[in-house]
Amino acid sequence: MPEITLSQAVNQAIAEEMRRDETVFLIGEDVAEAGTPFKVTSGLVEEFSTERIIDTPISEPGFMGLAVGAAMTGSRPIVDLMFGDFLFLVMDQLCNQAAKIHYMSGGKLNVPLVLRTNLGATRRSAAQHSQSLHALVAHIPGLKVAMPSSAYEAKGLLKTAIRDDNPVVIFEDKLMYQDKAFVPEEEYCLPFGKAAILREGTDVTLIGTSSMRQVCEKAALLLEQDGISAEVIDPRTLVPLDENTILDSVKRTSRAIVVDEGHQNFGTTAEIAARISEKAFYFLDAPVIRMGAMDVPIPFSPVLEDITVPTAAVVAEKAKKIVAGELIHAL
Amino acid sequence: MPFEVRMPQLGMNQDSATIVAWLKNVGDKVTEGEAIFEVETDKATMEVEARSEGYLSDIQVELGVDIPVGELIATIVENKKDIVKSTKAPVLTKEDDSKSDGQQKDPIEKEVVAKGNDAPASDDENRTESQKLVSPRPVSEKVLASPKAKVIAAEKGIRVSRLRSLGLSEPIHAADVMSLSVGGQSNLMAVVDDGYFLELVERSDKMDRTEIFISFLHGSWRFLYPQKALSLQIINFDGSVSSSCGSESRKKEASAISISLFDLCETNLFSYGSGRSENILSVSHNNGTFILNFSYNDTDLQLSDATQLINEMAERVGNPIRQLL
Repeated sequence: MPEITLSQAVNQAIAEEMRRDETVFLIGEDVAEAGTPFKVTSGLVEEFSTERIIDTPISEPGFMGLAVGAAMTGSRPIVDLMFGDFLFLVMDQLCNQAAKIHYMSGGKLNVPLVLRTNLGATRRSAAQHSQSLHALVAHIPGLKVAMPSSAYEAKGLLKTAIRDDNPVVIFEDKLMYQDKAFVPEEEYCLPFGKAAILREGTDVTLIGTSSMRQVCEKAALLLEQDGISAEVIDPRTLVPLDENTILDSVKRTSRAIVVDEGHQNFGTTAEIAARISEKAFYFLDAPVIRMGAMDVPIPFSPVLEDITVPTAAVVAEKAKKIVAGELIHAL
Repeated sequence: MPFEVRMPQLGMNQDSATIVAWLKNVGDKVTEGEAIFEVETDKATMEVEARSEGYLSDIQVELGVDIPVGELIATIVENKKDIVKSTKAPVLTKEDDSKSDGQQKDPIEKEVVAKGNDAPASDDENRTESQKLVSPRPVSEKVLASPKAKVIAAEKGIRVSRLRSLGLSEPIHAADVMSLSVGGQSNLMAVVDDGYFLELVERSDKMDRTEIFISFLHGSWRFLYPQKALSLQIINFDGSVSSSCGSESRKKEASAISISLFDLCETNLFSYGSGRSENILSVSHNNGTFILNFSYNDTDLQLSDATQLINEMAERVGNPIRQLL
């Protein structure tokens, strides 16, 4: 099994699907010659020409609207949104149009569209290029949301997304593009709505999405030194969410910490924590803890930026407290 | 609040600078925008202005030394009395105090001083407030127990309201409840003719009635369960408990079943159940009979064990000769 970067994994997924299905095309800013600022789509234009790897003017609402129309009329567009923060620009095309057309047309139309974008802070990109806005779209019925946490997930989930007949938003962690992982040579797709148990444990369940999966894994190692056994789960997709894997785990460990890089208020952590509290209430031996990004605009100052995002040390600290049974009024 | 004076960043790539001259001394009054020292970078020498009004205090750096950007240089304090002369020993002599007290002050400064005096008190209040928040023993009526702990308690037949009285400290978690060996309480009663036993008590000069009961209980136990350890206590009327005969009780084996005897014969009382998970044999005397009332914990004793034990005990009280056999 070769070890490749997340960026290469995404590139492979796009290329494989474009070879398999000629209705698939890629559209976005700087996707052709420039290969995106993260060099994810480099080389694709040589194989598929500018007919299918389409550079656009700087007009997110324009090319997003175009892609929704193309999807409704038989194409399978992959839209590259350079920064997740630009989601605000395509909200109507994505949430009012793409998400609702299948329903409003009585099932006569569908929108097999993939919106590829990213999340993640600590890249010193300041408040308008560092947000993790997946909760925003996960809130809208009709959109699926995938959150790959390594090259392996990035490839398998993107291929599934491209084949899905519904609009899918897939968030890649922009800090992970150069991170390597083992990816099978043979073709594979990863199913949506199936979480991965990355580490088994008995004392506390750490649920980490995307960038926070690594944080949870490192926290589990720290906890192991203190004799605490942590289970680590990556939900992989938020919509659909693999509730059962999460609930089964929490029922065993009776404690849970949900870690996600989106803002904590009204966020992904809140949703998952609420489901645990509702559906595994009688199995809980401690409050379910949410750990998201601090509820502030992401600071440009490196010192400040780094403390807005949960770290392994902070997750481990919280886990120790709830395992020890400390009385927790406000965390 | 003292205002901190830190080494400013005066150029894009500057990470340190040197103070070449102080334009104010410690204790001098400075106004906002007034130059307080001169600083030299690799490019230029310039004046640095105070960003708040007050008195210059606590200069921490030396002239001519390279100081990193952001390093604390001095502070500007609101009140004269807060001036710190050096980093090592804050100068706040009695003389200074009396002088400032005697001097006429403008009303604003007085108010500031008054506020300053109040500050510690309100701080204390805040502290007790926050201590209340994290108090491990909340005064609330509601027992703080996790949902899982409550489920386990329910499975064991323990009311949640009892968890506190069982001596668990809150918040109560699953492991705390699991450690409790609490079962339901059951009751058995036996009534026995008093004739022979009273005669035995009268003739015995070594043991009193309570001690004879204890030895009968011990004897019954040994007869039925020669392998199982037993620890026996006597409950006194003042609520105290005295340990009793029986070699097993001295060994204090953890696995030993504990039974307390409560002799109520001198009273009109009939039986006693403690509300804790204890095994108590109350003995009372009424109308020519002894009444043996055994309140026992289901996790300690099976019904069959308890019935055999009390039946055997009743047999011995009714016919003391059994104790000798």
